[in-house]
Amino acid sequence: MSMDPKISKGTDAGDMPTNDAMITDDERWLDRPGSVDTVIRILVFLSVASVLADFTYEKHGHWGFQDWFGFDAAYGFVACVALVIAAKGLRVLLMRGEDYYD
Amino acid sequence: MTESLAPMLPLAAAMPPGMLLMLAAIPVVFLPRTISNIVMLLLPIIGLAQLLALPIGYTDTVAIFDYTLEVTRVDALSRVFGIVFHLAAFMGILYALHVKDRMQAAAALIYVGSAIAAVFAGDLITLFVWWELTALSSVFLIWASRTESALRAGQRYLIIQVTSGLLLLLGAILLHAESGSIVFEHIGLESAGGWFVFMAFGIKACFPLLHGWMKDSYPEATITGTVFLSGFTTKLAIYALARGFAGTEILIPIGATMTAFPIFFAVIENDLRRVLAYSLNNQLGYMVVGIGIGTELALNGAVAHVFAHVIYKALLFMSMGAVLLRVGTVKGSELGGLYKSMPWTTVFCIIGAASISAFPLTSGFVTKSMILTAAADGHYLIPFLILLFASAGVFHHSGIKIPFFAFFAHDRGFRVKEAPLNMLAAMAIAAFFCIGIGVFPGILYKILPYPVEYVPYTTSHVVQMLQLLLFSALAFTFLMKTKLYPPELRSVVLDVDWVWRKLLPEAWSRVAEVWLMGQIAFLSTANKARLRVLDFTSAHLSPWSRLGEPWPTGATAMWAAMLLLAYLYLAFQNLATRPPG
Repeated sequence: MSMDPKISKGTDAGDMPTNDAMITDDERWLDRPGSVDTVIRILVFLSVASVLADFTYEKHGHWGFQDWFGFDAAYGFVACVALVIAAKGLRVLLMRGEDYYD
Repeated sequence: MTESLAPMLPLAAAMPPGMLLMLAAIPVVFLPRTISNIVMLLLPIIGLAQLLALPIGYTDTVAIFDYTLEVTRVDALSRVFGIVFHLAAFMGILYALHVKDRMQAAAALIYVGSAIAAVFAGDLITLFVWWELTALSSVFLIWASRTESALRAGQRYLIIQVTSGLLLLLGAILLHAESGSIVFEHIGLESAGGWFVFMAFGIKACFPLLHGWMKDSYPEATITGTVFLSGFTTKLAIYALARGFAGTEILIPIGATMTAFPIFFAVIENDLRRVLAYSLNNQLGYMVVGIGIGTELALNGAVAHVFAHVIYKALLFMSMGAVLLRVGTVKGSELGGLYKSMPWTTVFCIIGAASISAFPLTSGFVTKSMILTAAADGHYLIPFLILLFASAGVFHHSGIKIPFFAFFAHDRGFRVKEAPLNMLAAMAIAAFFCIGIGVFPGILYKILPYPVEYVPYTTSHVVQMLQLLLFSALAFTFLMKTKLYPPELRSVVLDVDWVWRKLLPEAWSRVAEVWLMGQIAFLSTANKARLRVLDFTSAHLSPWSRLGEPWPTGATAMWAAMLLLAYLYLAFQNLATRPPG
């Protein structure tokens, strides 16, 4: 990708007022290894449950496709992936360095 | 409620709603701070009481020259907007209570007051006056940042806002010429005047390509200023569209476009307040679609969505404002891990994020689903699919991106203080309404312009929304895990404001450059010609040239004698040829 050299990633750990001691002093449940995986597992469980909920009622959509099993789930997933990938592509065209307008 | 306040009517009728807030702007500057804070907090409460004391159908007119201006008109549509504007004013004032700058307080009061008064304007001229005053007063909330970039952003904002007002005035004059009336009722696009008014509203409502001013200016305003700005200008435009252009079908594709395209920008924008400006634009799209559909359900949905939106959008801007106050930046690339030091702000932000994403039991769910249902009822297939796409997308960038990158993601080690108490209180009130409206939608439905039969909590509505949102969250997780998600980068993302911030200035400087080059070329050619003339004359006429040499006396005498001889010859010939006599 032809990126502007002025576009830089977020501040490196080096020049932040951070040190490891500070973070360990202030460790929370989310900092522990495996916690994030637990969150993801809960999310997956809820997602599956929401799709299975389609069995519990009869769909009466305005259009036929709305009655497909798990339509909104599939639409949401595909929409978001497409959105992010398209937006990423847009960066090549539209992203400039922070001081572009100065 | 209205009946119990009836004895207050003569008092309430003394001035148009909103006027009290505007008038109070002057004493607020001079009163001691504690007193002026109390006064400011009371103003929206008194204003709301005044509004509720005025019965539906109440009007008040003022005669100026030959015209009668309807300065106050209370009906079901204007009243909902009036109520939510007063609520937003109270939250904004509470949120800004720690600000010492009295000019900001005065500007905010005039801005809020004029926006409220505009909603109750019964004719286009009264609307124009308040419309322009919202522009003139609100620019001070941007300039109050007192930075070079805010100064310039404010200038751009003012030019565009005032242009919108002038289009409105021009439209009003044309409409008056056609129909002889300036009453602000349904306008439609059948006349030229209607188109001017439509464009005036479209600028403030951030129609696609007319939207650049908002994402340009709102993130430049002060922390508290942005919270005020997010509430009024664009929603005033939505109100005006709902009154003047309900059922205008072109609004459906316009609105659908507005819901979709800003979210692409929101995904890659680094300034989180600017991300919120983009999602504000996206939310306006839903309302515009609802107005375009124009059925009772759709209009109710649009108005209800305004009500919910003003509150959760303010809440989101308040939470990012608190982050900006404490950390000094709201750039996604710099933030992370703030949930440890700002837990309350985190919770409030998540409630606002859930509401804008329309999670069941939050305000967005009970309002946005009305618009989606109205689109389906009208068999608008493509707009419906776009709205659904945008619903997933808004969750993605506002629901997840904002809280995730600010409060979670990588702990950047910021150990800051929690937001000040007044900010937390304002956020708590907003969060209370977000959930309150979501759990008890009947309270909001009761004040909508048309009777509501819509039932938000059906199995299909809830399951479909949950599927859409949970799988959007899953997509986010998938994209983060596979590192496909674009990292937050320090950058600017070009948008239409590029046209007037870069293209036009560059084109202008290019024109100026060509003009200058032309001048130089002309001058140098002229100079060369002048030098050539000079060369020629100095070659031939100088004292050292052939003509300039001193001639010897003999030669001169000879030339003189030759001249005399020629003269004599001619004279004699003349005599000889003359006839005798």
